[in-house]
Amino acid sequence: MQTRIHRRSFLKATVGGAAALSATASARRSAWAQDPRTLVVAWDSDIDTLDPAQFKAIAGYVTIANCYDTPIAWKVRPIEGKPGFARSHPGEFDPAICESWATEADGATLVFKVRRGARFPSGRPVDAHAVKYCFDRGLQSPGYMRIVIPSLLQVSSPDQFEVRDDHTFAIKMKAPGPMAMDIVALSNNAILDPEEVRAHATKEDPWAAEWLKRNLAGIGPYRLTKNEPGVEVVLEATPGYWRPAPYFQRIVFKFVPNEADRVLLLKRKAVDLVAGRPGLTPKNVKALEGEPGLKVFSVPDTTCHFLAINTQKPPFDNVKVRQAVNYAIPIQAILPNVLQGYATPMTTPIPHLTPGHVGTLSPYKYDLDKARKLMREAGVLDKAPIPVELALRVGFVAHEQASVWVQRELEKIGFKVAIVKETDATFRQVAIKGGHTLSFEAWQSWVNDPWYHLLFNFHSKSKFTNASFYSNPALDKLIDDNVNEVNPQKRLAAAREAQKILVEDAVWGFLWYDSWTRVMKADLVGLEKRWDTFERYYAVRRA
Amino acid sequence: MGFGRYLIRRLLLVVPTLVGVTLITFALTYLLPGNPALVKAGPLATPEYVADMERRMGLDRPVYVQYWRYVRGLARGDLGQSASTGRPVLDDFRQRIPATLELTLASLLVATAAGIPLGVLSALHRDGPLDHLARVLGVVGVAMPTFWTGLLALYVFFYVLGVAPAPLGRLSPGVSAPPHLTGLYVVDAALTGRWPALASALHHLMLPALTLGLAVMAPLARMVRATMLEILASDFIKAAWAAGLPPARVIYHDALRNALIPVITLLGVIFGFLMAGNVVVERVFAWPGIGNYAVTSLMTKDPAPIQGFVLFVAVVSVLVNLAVDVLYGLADPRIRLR
Repeated sequence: MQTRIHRRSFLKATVGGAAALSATASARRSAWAQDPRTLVVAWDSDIDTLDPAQFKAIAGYVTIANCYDTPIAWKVRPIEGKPGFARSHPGEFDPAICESWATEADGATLVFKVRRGARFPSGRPVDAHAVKYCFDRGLQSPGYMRIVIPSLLQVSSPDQFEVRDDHTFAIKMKAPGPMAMDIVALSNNAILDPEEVRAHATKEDPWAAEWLKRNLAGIGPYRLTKNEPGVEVVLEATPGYWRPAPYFQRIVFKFVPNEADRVLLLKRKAVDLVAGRPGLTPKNVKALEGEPGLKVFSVPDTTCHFLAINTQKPPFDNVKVRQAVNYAIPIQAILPNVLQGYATPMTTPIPHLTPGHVGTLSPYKYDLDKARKLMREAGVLDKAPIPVELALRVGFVAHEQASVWVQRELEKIGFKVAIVKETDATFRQVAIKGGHTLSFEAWQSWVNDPWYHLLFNFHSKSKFTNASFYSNPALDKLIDDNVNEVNPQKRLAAAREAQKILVEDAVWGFLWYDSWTRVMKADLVGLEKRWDTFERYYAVRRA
Repeated sequence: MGFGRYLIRRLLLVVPTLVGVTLITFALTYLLPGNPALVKAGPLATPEYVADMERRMGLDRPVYVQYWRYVRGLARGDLGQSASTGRPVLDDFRQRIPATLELTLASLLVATAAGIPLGVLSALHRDGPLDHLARVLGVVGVAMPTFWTGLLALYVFFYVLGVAPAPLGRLSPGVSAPPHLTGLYVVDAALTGRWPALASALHHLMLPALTLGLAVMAPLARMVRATMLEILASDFIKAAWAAGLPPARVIYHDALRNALIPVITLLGVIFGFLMAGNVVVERVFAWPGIGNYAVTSLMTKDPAPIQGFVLFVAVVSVLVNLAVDVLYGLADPRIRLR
């Protein structure tokens, strides 16, 4: 009898406790999830800095792209066969803060008309002085713009950014620049309220870089109302914005570090969209295709995934060995098995959406006999198996999976491959010091131009980004001669020449060009893919 | 030796321990591969810019200078700046420690509320069906990794049944946080009478606390069972039975009270385990605590938060051990007399 009472009290204690916890389980679905004018996005990124000119994490870039207008923007047009989606096309621009533009001095001077009527939250008008301030700051404060403005906009002094009147702004380049408009359209050229920024500048920090890390001071369709790292970022529509108000009044970015959770959240329709880099692996995207109430948006993109081959390290200083690697990559198996088809096989280092890409130059296809023959000709087989490390980054799932396929084939042609996994930070550091022999790398050129791409990836001067440590005076000269060449025929012919060199020299192990893929609720339309990968939510709405 | 002297001696021992901890946390990030200046400088930075960044971050100074700066900063409450959130680590900690503490305490509650009765019942029904069930539960609880049980729980209770909330933090969207008193939402909401916030906080706490709590329940139940068996077989219990005392009094008042003494030690160990186990569970449930923060920081080789995290866990462990020792000293005079 007694023990029965104990059993009861035990049950009361445990089951009762659990019942109390789950009593709230019937709680209604969240208020925000029901509000049709709120968009809930799941990602795994935190805002590290909000300084427009600086390098940032994804969350920083996306916030900047939605909270700041740029002088001009990459134009997007609807994608045929994918209703409700749009993408940009090379060389096409839309007005933004600048409503029109013209050229002078044979194209060496760009003249922009700044629109009237746009106002900063402070009430001050957006004018040519604000546009000049944005470029002055880019040129002189540390970060990305300080690198590209002198080389690609051919501007070395702030005097070349000229205010002609309150609504006319001119960029006086040294010579006409083929990439100038693309550089002006970058999200880094965020229009700041100069008075506001100056108020927070100090003697040591004349561009208020410290303050702008955590604060916004400009105009855009959204403003940042909450930033709680590891929890959420909330953007709300800017009142009195110069364009019509966006459909979504509020965008909530939820920090969800675990991919399996992101999948469950989508399947339960607890979030509208998964974003990030890339947010979902191809295998999970494939599994969500056909899921009721969800849709998958996938378009070819310019991100290159490649095997960086250190051309300075034996035996890879021998071109035949590098060619052999390219004949041994089983891309025909990696594409369906690892990438589930959300990619295009790489045929040259210049992506297929970039002007000047020539897809017919590459002789490489999976052919082990040819690869072994090249290894024999290179005279390295007497030392076989040749030990080699294949480096990749933890968390880059496609690379982790593809590495096993590559390892198996390379071992068939005389290598002994050790896969080395490193954190992103370690990987970058080892890469820059030339410590990698073979490594999985990825690169996207925000400026969709063959010479921008070639300059950063293959010029011997580009110490930190030339992942293969390639050094070829002939190619360097080709890049120097054409990076600011304006004659389109000449540029494209030279780009073909450059690709011939790079394909023959087998500087990269050719893998794939990624597709840009997002999974979302079926009622969302208006997603736009621009050359950078950052979503602008202004045009997104529910159908 | 009186209790006061015991306490002082015990407190003095904390000092060298803490110095050792700062040495280890400093060495940890100093020895880890990866250059934080490079990460900060970005992918297109020039070598000169990286060198400048190193100089500004003090990375070019000798090791002992760097260590001294680190300790001096700590003394002022300066844990450095996080590169991935752009904020002082102390601010991030202030925001995240209550979340971790809330989860840890809730799990501890789950573990004791389930583990102690289970241990007692197992001992009373030795080798009976209930004892076997408890044994199986124990093995399962220990053998299954928490990231797996957590995911499984999410799949069943959130995705299939829809009774658990989405793993999107500590409160449902639209429910505002209670006024900040302790930072523990359950406590703050209960104290200020914010019932919707209390319900939402408990609802969100349910799955992670059960996942973590059930993982540590098993050793607790086994320990209670073993000591209960030992004590039930001892002379004073036999005497109590012989005197005809009511069973409830014998079992709960006499036996269990004595059996719980070693459990205090175990709870200290479990608390430490929970702080570490949090890292995995927080990741699975997107719980905005310091475990999640530590993992993100490790991935980006963000030195200040990693140092801060190790320091925090070490200090908590030292304090918990201190508390356990003091409690022991109070509970058992033999210890402080030794």
